[in-house]
Amino acid sequence: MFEARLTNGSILKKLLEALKDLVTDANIDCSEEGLSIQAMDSSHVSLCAVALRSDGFDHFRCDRNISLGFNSQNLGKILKCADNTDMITLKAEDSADNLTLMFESKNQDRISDFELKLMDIDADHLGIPDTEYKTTIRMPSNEFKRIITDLQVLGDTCTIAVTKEGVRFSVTGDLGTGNVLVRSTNGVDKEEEEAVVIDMEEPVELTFALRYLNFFTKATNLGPSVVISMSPDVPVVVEYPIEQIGHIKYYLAPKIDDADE
Amino acid sequence: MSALKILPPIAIPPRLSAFLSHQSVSYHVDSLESSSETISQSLSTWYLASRRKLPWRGDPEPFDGWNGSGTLDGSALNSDSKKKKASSQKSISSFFTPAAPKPSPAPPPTPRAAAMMITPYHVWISEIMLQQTRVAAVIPFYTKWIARFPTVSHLASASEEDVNAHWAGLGFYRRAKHLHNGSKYIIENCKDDDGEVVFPNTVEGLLKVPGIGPYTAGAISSICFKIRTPAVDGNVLRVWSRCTTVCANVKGKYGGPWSQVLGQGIYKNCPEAVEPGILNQAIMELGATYCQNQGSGIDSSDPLKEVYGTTKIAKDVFTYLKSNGSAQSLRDLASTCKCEICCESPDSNGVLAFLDLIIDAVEKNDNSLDDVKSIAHRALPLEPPKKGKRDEIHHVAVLENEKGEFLMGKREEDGLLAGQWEFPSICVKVLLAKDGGGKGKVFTQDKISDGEITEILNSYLGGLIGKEQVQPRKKLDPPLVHIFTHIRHFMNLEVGKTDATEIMKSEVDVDVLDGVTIHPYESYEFLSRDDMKARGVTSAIKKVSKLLDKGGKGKRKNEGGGDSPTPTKKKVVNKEEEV
Repeated sequence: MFEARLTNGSILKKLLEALKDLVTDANIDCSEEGLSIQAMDSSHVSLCAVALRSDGFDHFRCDRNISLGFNSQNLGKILKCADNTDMITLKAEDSADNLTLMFESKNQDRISDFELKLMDIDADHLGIPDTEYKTTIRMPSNEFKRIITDLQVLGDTCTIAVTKEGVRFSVTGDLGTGNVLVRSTNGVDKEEEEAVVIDMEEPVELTFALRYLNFFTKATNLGPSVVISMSPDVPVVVEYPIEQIGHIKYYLAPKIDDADE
Repeated sequence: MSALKILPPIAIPPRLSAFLSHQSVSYHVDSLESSSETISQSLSTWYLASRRKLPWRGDPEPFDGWNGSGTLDGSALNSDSKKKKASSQKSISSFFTPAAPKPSPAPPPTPRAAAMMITPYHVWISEIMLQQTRVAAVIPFYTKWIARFPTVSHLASASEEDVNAHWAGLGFYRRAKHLHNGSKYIIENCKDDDGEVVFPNTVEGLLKVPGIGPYTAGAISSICFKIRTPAVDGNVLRVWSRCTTVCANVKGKYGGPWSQVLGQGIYKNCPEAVEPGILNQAIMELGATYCQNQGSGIDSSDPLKEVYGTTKIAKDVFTYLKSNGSAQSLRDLASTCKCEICCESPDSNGVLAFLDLIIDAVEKNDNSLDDVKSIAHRALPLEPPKKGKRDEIHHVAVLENEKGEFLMGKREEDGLLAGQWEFPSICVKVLLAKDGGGKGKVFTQDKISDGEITEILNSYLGGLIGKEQVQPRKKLDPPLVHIFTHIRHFMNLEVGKTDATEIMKSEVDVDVLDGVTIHPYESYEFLSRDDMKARGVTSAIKKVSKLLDKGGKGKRKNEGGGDSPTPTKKKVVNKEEEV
């Protein structure tokens, strides 16, 4: 028996918004620790990992570990039926073919329940090594979203370079070129959430497909800030912390020059 | 001066000499057997790492080679990944390795969504669909087909229209019919002791199913039943030919009985761990990728680059000629080759042809060793002798008796339109087509007069149904044109009546003039239109019947007021002039 209740149901709604364009099918892995989702996009260029700790739920019960395979478009459609202020409860029997979703409005005057048919998904679970990243950038998620949206106008590949100066996002396309330089915030007049904090051990420069970065920004609503971690020649991590309950992390493989091959 | 002293010609390297003068096909078999361990291991490793994801291999969506996964982002992402420019997009899985399988959280519950399975039936369907058809084109048809006919019994019990409807668009419709007939055969004839239907699980059993030939049987039995048997198609023949320097074209005996002999050779030293299904698919995949027609044989990621005999021989010839060896002595040696495949007929020595190509390539000074290697690599298998397109002019006798039945012959089980029923005909001329002979153009025979043709046709028909039954026939103009891939048939129809209702004898014994051939039919019968429908007739015959229906009326019209259309036109013209 698995049962989890979240007073702030909008988190689940936003989570699905952040997933459904990138990932077609995925498993929700339920354990005593909480819920987790790991899935690659269809071309296996990026990976998305969600973790929601059980202590972040208002009620959480998971008797034995189960995997709930869902189609993200379909789960997204059902979650659209929930209001932002609804409390959401997820329920599944141990060997169930269905996931029950119950939406209760704030003053309990409207209670709806939906059942989603589950699927068997054979997904390779990737082991993500613990990496000490050479640079970490923490910035407002809105700001990151704006940069990516702006750069997409010009091209499809974006170079992110972190130097002493700051973080430079650059794009080159048929129209021309574009650069956005973001500097660390100095001073104390800004709220913590609005600050840009760059932690650099050594300069890093990597190139990515903007299309995927754009998919990642669908998670902007999940939290006020985003944390970008990079090291040379490894995938970038774009993490959106979700307040008090967990995070969604996106990993994107860099584009690497083929000249040496 | 001593500096200009001509070096004595060096000896022909033993490897080259052994190849040039090999005396039997065992040369190729031995060489394949001795390298079979390397081939099978490197190929299967390569294949497992790089194979495409396809529904008939049990892969879930998305499939490679097709971006219609249905979701918007799926197709868009795929198109993005194609836009590789200077830098290439790495895959996330090249950074993160699959984690050890999680301890299974619960015993797998009853299957929820249908998992893609590989059964003999699935392999059979996919192999037949893939004949002459690109992978990308097949995927949507395959998924649709499997959804409609998930098992062999679903297929067998389906109506022909239903089957055809699910094939529509794939082309080569005979394949659908074969599948349908094959499934019926399996349902009726392949049962175990309890009467349960069992898909045949041996090569022999599979070959008995109508529509399953050596290739399909090999593919099914190796993939599904792990039988060590080859599945030989054109790609495979190319790979072997390049590995063991078979200097032949695939259309000849090499593609026939010898291919099975060579095919067994590949399993000789193949390690047990290599699954035959994987090996067979790997060879085919290689033939479709690195070892395609234009493959170079020296590509650094080609898994067989160390194995190809072509590049080795090329290197030997190159070094031998560059060290002042004589090309003529190589040619002399090559003329002693007596291999059953390479020298199929006394006047065609494939080894010599192959050698000449390499010598030419070496003698062009600007060719580097690598150039010569890839020229030699591409030379095999040799090109089949060019068969030009041709036009055939036939005189077709359409004889109808009082019962409304037509005299028809059944073509032999081999060759064009095998086993099909058609009106008996004689072929009076074969033209090698250049671009002459426009559609519908009336052909007249030089040398052979119309009278002579009628006479031959008469005596031919007379032999079948009795001389006195042959009555004058009416000729329909213009001849009907039917186009095959390499032949155009111009059919001059001669329509007549007969009183005969039975065939007297089926042997044909007619004196024919030079240039006239009578197509050998297996048997003759009088068939009514319903019979024809039941047996199925070719589109050419359908055309003929249509023309007969129309032609009859057309004739009457013409006889009534033959010139009427032209005056009408003239009148119109006149009116216009008046205005």
